[in-house]
Amino acid sequence: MTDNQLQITNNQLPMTLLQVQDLTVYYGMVQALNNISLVVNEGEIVALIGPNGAGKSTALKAICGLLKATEGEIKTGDVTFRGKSIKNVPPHDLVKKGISLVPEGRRVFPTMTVLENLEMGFYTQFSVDSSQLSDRLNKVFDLFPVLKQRRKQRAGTLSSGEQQMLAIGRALMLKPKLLLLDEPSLGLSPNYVEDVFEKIKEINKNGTTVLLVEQNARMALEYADRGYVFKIGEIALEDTGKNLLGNDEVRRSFLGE
Amino acid sequence: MIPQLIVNGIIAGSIYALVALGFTVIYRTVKFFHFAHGVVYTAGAYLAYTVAREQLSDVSGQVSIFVWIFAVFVGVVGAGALGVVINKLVYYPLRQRKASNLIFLLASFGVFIFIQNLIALIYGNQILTLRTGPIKEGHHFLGAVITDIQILILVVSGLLLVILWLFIQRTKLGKAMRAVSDDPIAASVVGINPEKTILASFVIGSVLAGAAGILISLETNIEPTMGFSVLLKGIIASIIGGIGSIPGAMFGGFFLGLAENLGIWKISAGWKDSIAFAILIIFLLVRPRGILGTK
Repeated sequence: MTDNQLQITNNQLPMTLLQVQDLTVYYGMVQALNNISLVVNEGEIVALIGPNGAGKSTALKAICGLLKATEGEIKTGDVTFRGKSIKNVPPHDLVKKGISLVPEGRRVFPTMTVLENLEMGFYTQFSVDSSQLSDRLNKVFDLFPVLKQRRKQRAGTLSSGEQQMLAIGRALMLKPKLLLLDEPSLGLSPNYVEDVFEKIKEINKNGTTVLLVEQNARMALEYADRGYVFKIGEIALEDTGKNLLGNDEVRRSFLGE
Repeated sequence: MIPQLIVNGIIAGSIYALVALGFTVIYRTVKFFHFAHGVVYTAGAYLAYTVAREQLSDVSGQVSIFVWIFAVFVGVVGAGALGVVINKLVYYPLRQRKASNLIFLLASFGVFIFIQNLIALIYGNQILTLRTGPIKEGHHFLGAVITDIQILILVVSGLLLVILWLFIQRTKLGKAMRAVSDDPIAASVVGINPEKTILASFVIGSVLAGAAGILISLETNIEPTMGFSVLLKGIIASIIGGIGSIPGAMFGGFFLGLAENLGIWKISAGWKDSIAFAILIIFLLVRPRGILGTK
């Protein structure tokens, strides 16, 4: 296929980047997800929202290979990335395929400096020449100037907002195709929440597809192209962010109106 | 008297520091007490002995330098391999089954007892010796006497401590080990394979234990049970230094060696072990996070 033809195909229909098909997940005897399917297209921001325990976090864990750590198991269904199955692929192998995760609770390396944390994000490409490393570092510092100021500080001493920036910056070090964010606003003060979503928007504009799980439904839907609403292990609604914000049921259940 | 006790303390401390360091390197990635570390130390000494044994029966007692190098090589590599085997055969399947820390602890004790008895079965329970040649008088140094062997122990263990420190701080694998120690999930998110890192920590930790076992066997006799008390001292050193801290393990080792040896200045040498445990209890009561530990 020539470049030209590729361009035309791209313009006509969105490229599916990530696809979850008929996924059923159990924690021991307890069913956490019942036959869910969802799609993330290239260039989108997609939000998974829903109450606690509805399965949105489980869905993300199933995608990024962290289910095993929490003793979950995919019973049926499949997860594909660019058409290839990534079911049960552990996170350290997903990184090589272009998927980076910002885990719940940020999980920076507290005893390492900010700079070391970012370098660890580059871990799988440690052997490449240092100009690439500084190139990536500068891009992250452009996005998060505060990290540049604090680069010699231990990550454990940063505020939770700054730690979230660092966790996102670390995930961006490998130039992922798909960025997964688990509860990016959790534990942040309100003014930081908006900051973080603004940065996510900026990252998305620079060409990274984003899938996020979020408690703060209003904020998530304001910034997302599309959203999926989870309810007791199933997907209850699927629409554009704007439409979901206007949806009566969503307003009543999640937006407190 | 005091200078001699200090010299003895530093030499004992360097062995404790090596054992504590290996124990800590492994503890940081697996987060449980790998008791079988003590028997890896014993195995290192016995493997080196096995290689040098033929030469030891020689009347002259002179073992060529090449045999020594080969003996040390076999002891150190064998200890590293033993650590890997223990991890692969015992801990890895337990990790796959999400075993609790208590199970790891018990399994680790089981491995310790099994291998210690295996060594006793092969070599017998009697004391063996790796020392050769006539006993040479030591060097006089600031009122203390220090032998060539003791200088060797100090130099080698000092070198190993520095090499390990640089390795952890500077190399890619060392950084990965720090990352896994900080947060295993975050480490896997940035592309670090936790199992590979755990394997590396067992190799490095066990090599340090084997080296310590060989070094001490140049100074004293070896027996199958030699690993237990050294393991306890290594664990005490790790705890008083701050469990999980690499500089803490080094510092704790020397601190313990000095305290034990200076302690017997006024009381009888039979109290050495009691001093170590008294220090442990005081630390657990007063400063449980240890000298350099965090939280």
